Amino acid sequence: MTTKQATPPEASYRQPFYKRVLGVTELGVFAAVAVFFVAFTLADKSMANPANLARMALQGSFLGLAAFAMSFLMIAGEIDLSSGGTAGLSAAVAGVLMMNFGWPEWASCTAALAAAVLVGLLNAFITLKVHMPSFFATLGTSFLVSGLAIWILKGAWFYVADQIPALLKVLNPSPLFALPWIFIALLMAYLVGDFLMRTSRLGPTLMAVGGNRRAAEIVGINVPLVKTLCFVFVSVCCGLAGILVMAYSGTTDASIGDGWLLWVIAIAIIGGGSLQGGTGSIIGAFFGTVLIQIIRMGLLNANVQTNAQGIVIGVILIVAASLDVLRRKSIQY
Amino acid sequence: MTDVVTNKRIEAGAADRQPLLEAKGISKAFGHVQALDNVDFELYPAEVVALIGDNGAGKSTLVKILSGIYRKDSGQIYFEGQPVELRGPKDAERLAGISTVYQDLALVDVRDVGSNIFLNMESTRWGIFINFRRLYADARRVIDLLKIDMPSVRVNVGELSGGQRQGVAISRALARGRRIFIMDEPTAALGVEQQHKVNELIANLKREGKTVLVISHNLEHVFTVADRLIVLRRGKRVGTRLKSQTTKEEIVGLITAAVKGDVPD
Repeated sequence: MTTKQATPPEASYRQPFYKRVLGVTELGVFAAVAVFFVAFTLADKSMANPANLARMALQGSFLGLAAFAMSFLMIAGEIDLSSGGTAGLSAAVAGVLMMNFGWPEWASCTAALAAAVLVGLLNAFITLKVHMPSFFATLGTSFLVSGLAIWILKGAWFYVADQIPALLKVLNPSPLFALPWIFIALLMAYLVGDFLMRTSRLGPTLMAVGGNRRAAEIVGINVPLVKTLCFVFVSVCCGLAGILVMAYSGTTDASIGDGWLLWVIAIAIIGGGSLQGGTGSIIGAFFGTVLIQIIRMGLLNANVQTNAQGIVIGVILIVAASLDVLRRKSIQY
Repeated sequence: MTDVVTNKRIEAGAADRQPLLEAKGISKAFGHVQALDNVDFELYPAEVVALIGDNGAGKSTLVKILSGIYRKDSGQIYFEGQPVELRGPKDAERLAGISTVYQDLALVDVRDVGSNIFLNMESTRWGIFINFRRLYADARRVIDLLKIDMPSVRVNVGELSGGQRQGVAISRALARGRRIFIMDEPTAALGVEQQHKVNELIANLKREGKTVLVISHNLEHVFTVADRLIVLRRGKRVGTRLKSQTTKEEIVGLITAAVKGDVPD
């Protein structure tokens, strides 16, 4: 087979160097993690203190778990605004079953995760069968599940710390730099998830579903099934995160997931995700979680007023997102 | 009610070959509008056929029936002489090897050429990990077969020109073993140079023994690529001409009814 002169042989083809560097989705967030960590450590030595790092790892794991699942869903072109509500609902279900009905720990948590699965199926049903954009569908279920959590708890809150010995173990430090077990597990999940996205058929499938739905359909991918699995995965991870927050705080109340939503989406986007779907990075969301955690902890240590933290984080987010837009443009023809 | 004239002309061009795909007496109505009225249709191996006609002549209805999107009211479709029932696009692909390349091409812009061609049929190691080396080598082979200008099969499809994108969409269908390629207005959104690329692409498909059905308004383009022209007018097949035996004037006349068709209106 002879090819035309205009076509250079495959082996000699290489992207220019700057494109290969700028083409790394996680470049920006990784650089930001490094810059902010160094800056905050220079400002206050306690930042790099091992005890401080372990505490950050523990506190960041809950959002990190939700953001992990959310980045898959966003690559598949959908979004779940009910993540915080689902976390609250799971915690409420687990708490009520343990305290009011005397269920054992494992049964209560299983039931709580089952409730989360139902939320995911409901999100998928409204989005895929009623054909409503997931932005609106999950906005609705967000109110619904938050309301359910409040209704289940009847405005009360429970002290559950004595009932959950197994869950508390997950939060204990591991032998590895005293980082908590939950963080180690989450890091493994991120690494495996990212690896599978790059090497298995998971990546092409999710990116096709989110990048061009018609293309996915033409080649025979079951688009509704893929999206449904992603919705359920997000809900289960959020439900699990809610249960873990309950274990961490020792109490159940309906407001466990309040304010999660914006953090989770911010993390996924900082990590390289896109609201249009099709692109994103799993490991990028990990760095996004780390970045958010560093900034929150750094501002706290630097004695920035709690009232002013939102302003600082907002500015950082906008600057980070703008730089990423520039990066993407610079590598396009 | 196949008319003598039409048959003679087909036989002149297609010798004694059996049609790859044949449709007989296809009718389709939308409410009171008879979009297709007892239309016969046939495609032979390794030929390029242009389906032409004015807006509302029934071109897209016929194509959508062949690609399984619409159900016909009556008539029968045969693939290699065997009757087939096309209940959906998947049937058209699997039972009749028909692949439709739509105007929007339906490519994943954020993935590279190789990944698009073999999307959802990637060969894997241990059933899990994609064998990328093999995938790119296979992709290169398909691209070279069609002589598509492509610096690398690792370039994202979003960075390609219109002609190259057509090439990727065709390669994707070719890799799936399709034998009939329906191209809907393939040159509509392309510049002159890119149109040439698409013409070459069609010629290369034919050389590989594939059948191409082009739906086009562009008579210039049709006369460049097609072997045979089928003219529809108001739901009827009014003429079939070999390119070598007709003129643009005659075809325009058939489209606009200035020339009397082979069947009564």
